[in-house]
Amino acid sequence: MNEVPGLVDLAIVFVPGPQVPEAVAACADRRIPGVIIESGGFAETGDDGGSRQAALAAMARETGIRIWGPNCMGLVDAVNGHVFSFLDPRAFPSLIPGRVSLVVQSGMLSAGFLVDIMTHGVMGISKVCSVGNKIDVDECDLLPWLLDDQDTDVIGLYLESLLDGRRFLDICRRADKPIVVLKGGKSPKGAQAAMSHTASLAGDNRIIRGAFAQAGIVEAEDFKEMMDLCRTLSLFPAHRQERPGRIAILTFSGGAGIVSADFIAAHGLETAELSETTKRVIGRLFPEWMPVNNPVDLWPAMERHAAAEVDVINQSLTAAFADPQVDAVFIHAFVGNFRIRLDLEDVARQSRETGKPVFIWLLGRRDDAFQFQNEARRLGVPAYPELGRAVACMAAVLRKR
Amino acid sequence: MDFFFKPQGIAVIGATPNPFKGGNAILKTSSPVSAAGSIPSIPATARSRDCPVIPR
Repeated sequence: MNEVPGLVDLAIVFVPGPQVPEAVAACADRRIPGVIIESGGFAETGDDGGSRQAALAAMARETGIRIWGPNCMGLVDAVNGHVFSFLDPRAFPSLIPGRVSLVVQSGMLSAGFLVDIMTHGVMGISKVCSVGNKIDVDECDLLPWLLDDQDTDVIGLYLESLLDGRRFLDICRRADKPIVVLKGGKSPKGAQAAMSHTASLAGDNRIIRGAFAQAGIVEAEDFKEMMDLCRTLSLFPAHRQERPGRIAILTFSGGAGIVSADFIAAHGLETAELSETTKRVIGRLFPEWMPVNNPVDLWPAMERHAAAEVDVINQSLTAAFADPQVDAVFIHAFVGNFRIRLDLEDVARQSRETGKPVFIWLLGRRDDAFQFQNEARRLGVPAYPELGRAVACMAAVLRKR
Repeated sequence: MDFFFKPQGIAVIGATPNPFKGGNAILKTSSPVSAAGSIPSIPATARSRDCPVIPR
């Protein structure tokens, strides 16, 4: 390494596991401050690999060199266009820059995230940090950096182990950005699998869950939920809720309204008591026999005005956004139905001007729904194909903080 | 930690001209970082990328 010319402050190592200690020692001699080891063949493979990993950890302690990995995918920075990874570059044809950064213990998972996110166009990414076996650099090193990072609004973590749980929780408690965590290895079998995957010792699930809640961490149950939570939180980075959020539900289906109210209650939110003004405004659109309640079932009003050019949905939306007893609006959209036409630009404008988050649950023909979802994303309006997921994301934004 | 996120010069250890190897991908994708080009090193042979190669 002494032959390498010029300033080198980062080495990326991808040689067979047994050759890694020698390469890192050369980096330490050259006084390179940081090394990303993407090679596998360490504690995740058994005793020999474990010895190699221990030797590297000792090297980090003795020399001060910072070691990221091993057994990881490295770093992808979509904002600055950096990809420090062994993955085929064709897997990253068009990184969409965004405000969400991820820390992922599994290498291939972080790659899968990126490809999924990019091809579905659901959200932009700031950084993806794949940390692997975490012999030195871990979430407690990366979180403070990402919390200070001007390109990051929300941080999502998939972790199989927490090496310094107390420090991690302390960082999260003091964080001024939302942190979403999916913790793997919560069941005995899951913990066993985590041991062979990234040599992680997983902890007691109940203790971890309680500690996460106390530290203000948003906990995800699966990978797609983690992405949806991050995406949603990144749309409302400045929103602060002083009390459990009160939701106005505008629906085309009585049944969907009922299920929405159930989900909202289960997540500790409230179905709003609409003000008398709102009831009067929406009531003018309703058939005489029908009182205005929340959930607001708009279908009878749409049928009543089917022949006239009365925009039932958007007039009702305006009333809901203006209601001081409503903190957020939940719209059910049936894409492709000619009577349910949602002016997305106007929805985005009203949400922005009132400072009230809006969420859309989406039904309809697949292609139309995908197009609608992309248009909603462009306008900063979250839209979800699953009702429960929509409310879970709503709760992450509107839970008292 | 800045050297991980904003490196000024990168050495790729395990760089290779074989397009089916991960060391080739790292060489391709990390090169834009350094104004002088990234530096493939032990045991690299990526001469096509106009980078200093160690060993020569």
